[in-house]
Amino acid sequence: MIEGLAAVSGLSKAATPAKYLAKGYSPQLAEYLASPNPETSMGHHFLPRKMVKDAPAWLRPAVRAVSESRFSVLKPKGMSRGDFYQLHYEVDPSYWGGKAGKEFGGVKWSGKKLGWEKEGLLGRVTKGSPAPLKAVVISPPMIAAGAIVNKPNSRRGTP
Amino acid sequence: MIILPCAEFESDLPEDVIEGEDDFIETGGRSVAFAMAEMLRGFGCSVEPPEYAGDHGWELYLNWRKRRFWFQITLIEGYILMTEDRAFLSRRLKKNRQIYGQLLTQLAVALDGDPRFHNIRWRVADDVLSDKPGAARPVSS
Repeated sequence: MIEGLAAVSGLSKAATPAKYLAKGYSPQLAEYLASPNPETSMGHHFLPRKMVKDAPAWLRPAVRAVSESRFSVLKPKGMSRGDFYQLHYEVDPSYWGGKAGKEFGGVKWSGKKLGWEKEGLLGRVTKGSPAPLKAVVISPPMIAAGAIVNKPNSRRGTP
Repeated sequence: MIILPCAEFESDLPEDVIEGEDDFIETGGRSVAFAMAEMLRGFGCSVEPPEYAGDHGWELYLNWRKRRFWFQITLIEGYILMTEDRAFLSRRLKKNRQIYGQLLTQLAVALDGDPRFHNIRWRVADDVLSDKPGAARPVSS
C-alpha cells in the first residue's frame, strides 16, 4: 500500500544524466541532479519548521516531534537529487534552489530557471505529504467508503 | 497598500558555504543572516539567533511591535529574502499590515544604507528569480 501511495505521489527511481541533458541542462548540472539524494538531506517538511515557533512554548516539543516525524518529513529513499529537488521545489513555496558541490563544478541552479513550477494548495498537500501521512489520512475514509459500497443488502439475504 | 514581502540582493559578506563529503554542511548565508539580525535589532526588533534551515538557508524569528515575523535568507546566485507575518488571521487587518509594511520599510532603509549590501530589489514571491525589475521599496500605496 505504501508503494502504491508512492506511485500516486509520482516518486521515481534514481535518474541518469541523460534525463537532464535531454532537457538542455549543462553536463555538470545533469551529473549533479542525477546523483543520489544524500541520506543527510533534511527533506521537505509538510508541517513547516516555522510552525514549531508559532506554538506556545509548552507545546513546542510535541509540535517539533510531529514536524520531524515520518508523518511530516518527505524524504523518499532511492531518489536522485534532481527528482527530489524538483519535488521539493514544487511543493514548498519557500524553496528556491541551490548550488552543486565542488565535485560538480559548484554550478548554481534555481527551480524557476529550470522551468519547474510551484504547485497550488491541493498539489502541495497531495504531492508534498509523506506516504505514512497519506496512509493515515486517506486510508480510513477509503476503507469506510468501501465498507459502505460493499455492504450486503439484508433484504436479499446472503449475496 | 501593496507589500512586497521578498527581496533579492547581493552582499560583500562571506558566503560561508561549508561542504562535507557528499553534501553541504551549510549552504551559505550565515554572515548575511547574522548581519540582518543585528540590523533588525538596531531598530527595536527582538530577534532570536539565526537558525540554519538546510536547503532553505537561514531563518530568523523576530518580534516587533507585538507581532511575530519569519524571515528566510537563501543563497543561490545572490541572496533571496522571504518574509512573513506569522499571525494567520490578524495579519489581514489593516493596522497589522501597516506594521508589517513599516518593518520592511525600515529594513529596506537599513539595507540601502549598509555598504555591504547591493542591488536590493523587492518583489512578490511569484516574481523571485524572474526577469522583472522589482521595486526599490517594499511598500507602495
